[in-house]
Amino acid sequence: MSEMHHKKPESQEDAPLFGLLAEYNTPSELILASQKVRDAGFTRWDTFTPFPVHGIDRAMGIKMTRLPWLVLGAALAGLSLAIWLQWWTNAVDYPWIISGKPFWSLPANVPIMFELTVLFAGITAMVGMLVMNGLPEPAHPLDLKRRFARATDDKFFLLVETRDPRFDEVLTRSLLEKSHPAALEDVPEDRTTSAQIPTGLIYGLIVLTAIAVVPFALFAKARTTKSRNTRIHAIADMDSQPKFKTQRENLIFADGRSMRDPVAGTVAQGQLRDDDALYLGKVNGAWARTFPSQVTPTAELMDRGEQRFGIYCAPCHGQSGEGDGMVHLRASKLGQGWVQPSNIHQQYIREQPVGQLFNTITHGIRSMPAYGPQISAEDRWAIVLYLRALEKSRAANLGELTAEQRQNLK
Amino acid sequence: MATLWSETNPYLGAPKGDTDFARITDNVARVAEAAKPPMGWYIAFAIALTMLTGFGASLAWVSWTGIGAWGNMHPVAWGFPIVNFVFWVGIGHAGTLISAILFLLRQTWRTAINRFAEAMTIFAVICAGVFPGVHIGRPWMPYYMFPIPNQMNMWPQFRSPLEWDIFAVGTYFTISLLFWFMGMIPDFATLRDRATTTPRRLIYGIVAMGWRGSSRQWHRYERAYLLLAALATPLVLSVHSVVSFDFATSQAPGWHTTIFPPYFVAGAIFGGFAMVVTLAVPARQFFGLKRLIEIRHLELMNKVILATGMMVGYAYGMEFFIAWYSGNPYEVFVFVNRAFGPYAWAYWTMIACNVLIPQLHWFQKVRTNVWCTLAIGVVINVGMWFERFVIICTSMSRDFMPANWGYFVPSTIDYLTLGGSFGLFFTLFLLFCRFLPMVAIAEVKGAHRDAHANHGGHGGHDHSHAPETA
Amino acid sequence: MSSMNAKHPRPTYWRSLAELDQDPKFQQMLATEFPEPLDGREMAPGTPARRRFLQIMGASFALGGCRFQEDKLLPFSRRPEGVLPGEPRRFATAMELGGVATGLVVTSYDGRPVKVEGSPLHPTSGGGASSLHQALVLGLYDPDRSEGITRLQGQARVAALPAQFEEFVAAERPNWQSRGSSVRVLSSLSSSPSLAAMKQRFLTAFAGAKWIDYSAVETDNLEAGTTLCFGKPHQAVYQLENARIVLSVHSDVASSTDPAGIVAGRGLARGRVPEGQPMSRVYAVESSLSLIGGIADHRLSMSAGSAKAFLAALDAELSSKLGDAGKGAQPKPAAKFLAEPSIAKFIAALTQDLLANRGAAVLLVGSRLPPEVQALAQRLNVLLDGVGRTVTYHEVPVRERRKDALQALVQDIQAGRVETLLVLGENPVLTAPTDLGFAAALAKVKTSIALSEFEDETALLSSWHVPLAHPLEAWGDSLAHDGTITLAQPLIAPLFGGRSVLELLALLANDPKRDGLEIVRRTHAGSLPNQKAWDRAVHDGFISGTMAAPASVTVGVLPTFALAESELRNGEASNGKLEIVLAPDSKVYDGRFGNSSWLQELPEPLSKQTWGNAVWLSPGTGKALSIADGDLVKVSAAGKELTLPALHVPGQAEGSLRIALGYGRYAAGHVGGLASANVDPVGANAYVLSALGAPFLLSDASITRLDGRQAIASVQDLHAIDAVGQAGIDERRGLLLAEANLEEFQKEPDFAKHLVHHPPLESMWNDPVSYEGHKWGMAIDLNKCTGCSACITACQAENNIPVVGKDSVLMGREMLWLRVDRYFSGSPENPKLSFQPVPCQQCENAPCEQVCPVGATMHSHEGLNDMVYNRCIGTRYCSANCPYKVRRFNYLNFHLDKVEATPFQTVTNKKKLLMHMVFNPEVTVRARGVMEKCTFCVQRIQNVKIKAKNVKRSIADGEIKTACQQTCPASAITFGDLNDPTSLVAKDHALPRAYSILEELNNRPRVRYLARIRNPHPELG
Repeated sequence: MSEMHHKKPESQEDAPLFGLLAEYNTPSELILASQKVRDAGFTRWDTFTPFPVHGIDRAMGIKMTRLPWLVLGAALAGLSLAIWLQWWTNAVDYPWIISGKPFWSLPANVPIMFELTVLFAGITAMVGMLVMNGLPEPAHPLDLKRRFARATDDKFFLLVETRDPRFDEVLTRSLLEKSHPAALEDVPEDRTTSAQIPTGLIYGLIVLTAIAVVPFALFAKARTTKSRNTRIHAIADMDSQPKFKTQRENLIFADGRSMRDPVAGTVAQGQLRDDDALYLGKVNGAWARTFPSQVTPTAELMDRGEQRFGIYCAPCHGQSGEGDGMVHLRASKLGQGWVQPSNIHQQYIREQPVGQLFNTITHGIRSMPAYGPQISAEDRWAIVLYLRALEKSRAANLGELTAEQRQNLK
Repeated sequence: MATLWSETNPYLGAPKGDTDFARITDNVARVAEAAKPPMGWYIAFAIALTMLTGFGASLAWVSWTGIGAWGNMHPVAWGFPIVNFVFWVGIGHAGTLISAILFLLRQTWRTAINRFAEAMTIFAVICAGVFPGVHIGRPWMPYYMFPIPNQMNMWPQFRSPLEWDIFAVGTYFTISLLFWFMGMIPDFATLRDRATTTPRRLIYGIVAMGWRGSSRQWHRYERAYLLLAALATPLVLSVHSVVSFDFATSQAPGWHTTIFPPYFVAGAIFGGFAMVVTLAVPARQFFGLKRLIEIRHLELMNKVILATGMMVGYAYGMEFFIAWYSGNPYEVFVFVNRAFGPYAWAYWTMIACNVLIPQLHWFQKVRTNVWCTLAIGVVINVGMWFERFVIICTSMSRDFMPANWGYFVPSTIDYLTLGGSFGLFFTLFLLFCRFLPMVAIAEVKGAHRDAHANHGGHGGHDHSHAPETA
Repeated sequence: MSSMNAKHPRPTYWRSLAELDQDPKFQQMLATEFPEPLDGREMAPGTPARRRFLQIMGASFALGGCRFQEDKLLPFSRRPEGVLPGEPRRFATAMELGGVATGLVVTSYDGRPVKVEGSPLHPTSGGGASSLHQALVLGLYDPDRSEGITRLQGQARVAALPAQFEEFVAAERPNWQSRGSSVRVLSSLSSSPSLAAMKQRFLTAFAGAKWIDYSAVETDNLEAGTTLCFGKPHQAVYQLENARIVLSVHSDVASSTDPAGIVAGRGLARGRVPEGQPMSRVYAVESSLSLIGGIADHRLSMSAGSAKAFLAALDAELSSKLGDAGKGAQPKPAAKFLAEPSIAKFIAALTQDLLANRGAAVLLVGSRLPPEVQALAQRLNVLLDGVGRTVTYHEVPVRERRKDALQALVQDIQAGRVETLLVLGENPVLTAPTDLGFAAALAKVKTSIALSEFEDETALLSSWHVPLAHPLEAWGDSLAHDGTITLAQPLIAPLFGGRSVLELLALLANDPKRDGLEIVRRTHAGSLPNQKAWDRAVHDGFISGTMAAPASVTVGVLPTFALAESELRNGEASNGKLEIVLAPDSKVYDGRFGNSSWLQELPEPLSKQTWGNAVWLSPGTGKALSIADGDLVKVSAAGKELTLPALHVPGQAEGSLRIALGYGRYAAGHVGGLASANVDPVGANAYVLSALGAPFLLSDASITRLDGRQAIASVQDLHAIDAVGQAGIDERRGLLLAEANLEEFQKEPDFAKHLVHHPPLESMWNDPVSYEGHKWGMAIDLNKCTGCSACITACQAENNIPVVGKDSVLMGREMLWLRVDRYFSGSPENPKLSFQPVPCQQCENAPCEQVCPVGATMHSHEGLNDMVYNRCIGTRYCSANCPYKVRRFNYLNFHLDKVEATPFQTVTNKKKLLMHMVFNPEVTVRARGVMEKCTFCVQRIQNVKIKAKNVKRSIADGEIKTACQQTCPASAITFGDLNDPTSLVAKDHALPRAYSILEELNNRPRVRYLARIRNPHPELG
């Protein structure tokens, strides 16, 4: 562009004509000239002035631009976007109860509607102007004319291009001469700077693009590779709080646990276990032979018992209690001194009082661990109830069946 | 006439050129082209830069320790930062107002000062924009305020006036920037074509975007400029109205006031014009633009200041009246408390600076005296800052329940931040004066008598020919 | 025992065993172990705490350093029965203060106590607890507690192993047995049966040893008075709920310093219900404002000295009316001030009321008043047929008077008759009268063993210091106010291997039983023979049916009391004639809670002062002696002096000064003051004024202004209120705080609803939700509220509310979610006092919500105004728009700075880790820059909702209790579901006198207040 106009490249000698450039000293001379050129019916011509010359539009016959319609369109777009944005976010996508107001109440949304309307319209006015004017325009044959530099200072120019169908080297020149220009010059095509983009600029752009890609590359890598480290998190805010949630680490204590054992002998509210029948399965010293008063054998309790049995007992003792649970099968395959869980249908177990069964579940027996901590007393009784039913299912004798049950058996 | 532009300038002598147009060009452009600016510029720039550093330091410290480093407390949750924010937004008004409204009203005298004013707007809004970002408790997550799609479906809460602020100030900044930049394109082209060194030619060339002053381009350019002006005018009025909503839509006595939007806008224009004169006076002295920015222009602005100042004064009075008229004890108290409570000193400073002193502009002697204009301009800026202080801090310090009452005392960091924001403003402004066309060259030329030469009678009227399309 | 102590039975709190040998390097380390002060004052802007550099470090190796923190899960390998990780358990226990036990229930999370509450089962506490109880947990996790036994070597204190101490004891024991008369025990006054038994064992083991019951606060007068009156020392138990007329003479009943405060508060509140039942009338005669003075319908400021004359006059009046003259009735004293119209009218009205309500009247007398006054009061109680109705008496063992005992002790020491002195849980070096010269004496004793939680003033001078187990770490027992035997069970094994008093004595006396549990069980083996009975008692926290049997009393003939000149005048605002009242502080008591930051920052209920004490004087006296608020003054009496700031308090009697005890400690800790770490003491030590003869009530004192002022960190009226402000307050007080006299109320029950004239409150919107399901609401009865501020500490403990430190309080940045606003009305000489607790009002049209740009605060479908900490970016707009200003903002990193939790590395400093343990795991620990506020204890609501949902049942009314409601002794706060018309809160909301503050703003608060109703005597009006 402008830096080219004082270079004198060799190739310019035989450059074909681009157009004729007439220079004037005052706006009025320019206007007169423009009217002549306009009336001569030229289309590919233009005038260049340091400031918008009043009346030149009509003199050149420039028609009103369509820019305002573009701007209007943009304004409406901004308005509708504002309405949609506020309605969708606050009323539809994530509705909030705010100050007892409806999820969608227009008055509060008006300011932003207005702002977005103006924003879109404004940007369009600017960008539209540039685009319609074909800006930015890096280079132009006129840049090669030194005197043209004054087009932005105090001189007024008129250019008729050879591309114009009515252009005739002789006639056009004479037409312009009739308007008494201060100067009239040929403008050759620009042969020197046409495809010339500074290499520095190109390399610069390449480097910038490369740099711009780096962060995304890092993200991509982070997403596809595994790392032992926790994720990067510059500002923790309240993500890690100086309090001990359950089962966390606390370096104060030798065992590193934040969780402390209850002090021996203490009794928590609602955990006073002073009912032997219910909590120990004992009635004055001996194993209880009946269920404690708090536990009434019902269908619900039976279901509960079955469910608990399935969760806690079946893995070892097996669904039917024959001591052939999954754990047993697997363990005996590995066969490292694994003792088979007892089959609950054995005689001596069948004869055990319920209290004793309860006690076994509570404190465990032989290699069976204690389930007291994990299963509440009520549930343990439910399991006992279910056990009894299981046993019965194997050892029921006809005498215990009603007449039609016997019928069904047949 | 020929002597009109041959003003000798303290350090550049008379403008060169054989036509008035050329001299206008030279008179403005040479400032940006001068090898070195006047000594005063260097001193001013050094001071501004120091203050700017203070700004950075204070903000860094605040974001490190927490905003407790400022004096904000319970109940005055909003202290200096928001006062400064509103103050700067207010300053940012005159610029676009002068450009846009005066342009629509075809006030040609605007050409002398509109570039100034627009630049001032941009820089003031930049200063303002800093505060909402840094005043929040967790300055690392202001993006929560923008509608960014995220997996949590968390959106901003569009009922909040602060949310409106984001959009209002954002839009205002963008539009003002476009307006300012568009106005400068032809002048950039001028600087490009006058440039003597490659870097200048390159830089001005890039920002001029290949503008060559083609009339077909001028045509669309003027359309677009007119549209922007038309859009900017309501925008100006809206921005400070929205800012005033922060207070007007709240419940706090002294804030919950329907007069706020017009009152804030008037105040903003008032303060904005004051800032323009404050800047224009030294600039025209230093850079020899006395012929471009004439006393006449200053006087016109002083008249605007006088008018808006009285509007502001009216608003002050009306607040009291309405408070009394409402019969609401809390409302009444807040205003009595302003005038006679612990913060009375702030209130009376405000009254003196904004209502009493500007009355001097009734006298033409004062209006037309450069130094009085400057002095009163500065005083008004002080007063406008105090207006915001009174509204925000005084009202908050004593609201509904006496058990909450407190007395806000700013910390040293507060003062550093306030001073620093001025540093930012003046740094930017001095750079503008140094490297950009301070006056709209093309427009001044367009307003010159030679631009409307006698071209009538020459077929200007004949419509015999069908116009071609643009 | 916790594994920590099981594995290392040594103070290996954070040192490895190797460090524990006696080499001097380690001694230096001991001294330099403490990190920066914890009391928040390092967080003043401009003085970055050390951890900021840690942060910088962390930030500097940015991507490397700031990673998400790792968390370990450490479950039990063998889980004890009944323990479910993360499922809080509650244990009944007790805390003894001033020889009286309060039954408590402590919530334990994963075996760590996190919250203390009053035990609803317990006969006296009945669910209520004071701030002092609430702050127990903070004391438990106080990093300044002494970590192990230390002993004096030359000038230095060196750490010693328990084994070494036990060897020493074993070696010494023969000497003690042989020369028992050289052994003295200074034990804190206690009603513990086990301690009594242990005392006997000790005294038999070491024949001739002497035992002294010590208390830093006044306890003798009551017993002396009852002895004077009934011949034997008695404990008076008041049933205020039965009283129609209550006269309080300088009594501090309902305050946290009164052992029976919780009972009294509840009793008073029961009598203050204006609906239906007849409402009680309360008279108060006192030298300084008190909580009961705040409740009183009639209050008379009168110097403490003139109480004797006042009661004598009343006695004369009543006796003559009751035809009891001559039988020990006092003659009408010749005191001029009694003729003053105001006082004469007061007495006339009072006598009339008392006579009209025989059997329903009661006199309460402050313990500071001399025995004669006590005797008179009890005499009148009997005369007015109060016995068995409003008051019961039961005998208490005869004790040596504190004065004589201490004097004898010091004399013996000076005479070299004492070789061994045990100080059990007391701090006499700080609290004993200065003219006793205890500190000097202590140094003379060959072997002195101080058992205390902290290495306090006494411990520093003793040859041995043994860490005392915290009340939540030890087994114990003691008697409640009504004599009920109350048991205390430990919540956690001693963190520092501390010993309880019982355990230490057992060791010294070579008791076969050394374990606290065994000792206590042995004491009650008789009443609780088997395990079941014992477990039941431990579970309940007390042995039922052990309430002391009321004794029948006969009033002896009282001599005519001589009245000194000073007792004949009603205060005089002239130097040399002033009186000084030294009162235990409602926050630090006698100083033992001086290192509790919760209590230090708790606003004193009446002066609203935090972080320190001041000398109270009436504005009149201030004017007369030209002393302004905040002036630094020198108070002097009997040649002793004290320098502290002055505070004008309305309602203070002319010529009477009040100073709170328990401040100015130099060995309390990093909060209360620690000379060894250059932490200035909080407040000034008023014990220096107290004399052996007149410990807490000094006459002929003077006060002079020094140049210089000292800011008083008050949370209300922090800055002096100017005329304009005062006018504003007077104008709106009546609008915010509805008050009426009983007959006005009966004429117009819904007066509170018409305080403000406003247009009909209609919203232009329809509600987006109709709160079906639950609709949480709260009601606060201003008539019941005594202003005791227990709710504030309860809230702080429940909701992890940060302490900000004195400097931040002075900047008005306190964080308390729940304020108790205090307003004065009437004349400054004799003001009416009103309290108004203000939590978040949970408005349905919450103004805070619509202004938040990020939706960090919004409404739940149950009508809670939720605060989303993670979403909050801290614009503080919500606070600005909250008319009640109940939102609090973390201007600095108040929490994390103190507990040194940095985002970048796990905390290793054990002291800091200890502080982490106090946080309620169910509540967010807020970081800086976020807004916070009352949530109606949403975590409690959710817990109950989940429990109920699991078993598919509905939530019963009263099942959810907010922390403030739960602890309130007066049960002034009700909370529940407004959709349930039968719920207490719904009923309260429906009461005619229910109103909401600033209703005219149409925020529709979910908190409603029940107007304050006063019941004045028609004559006094």
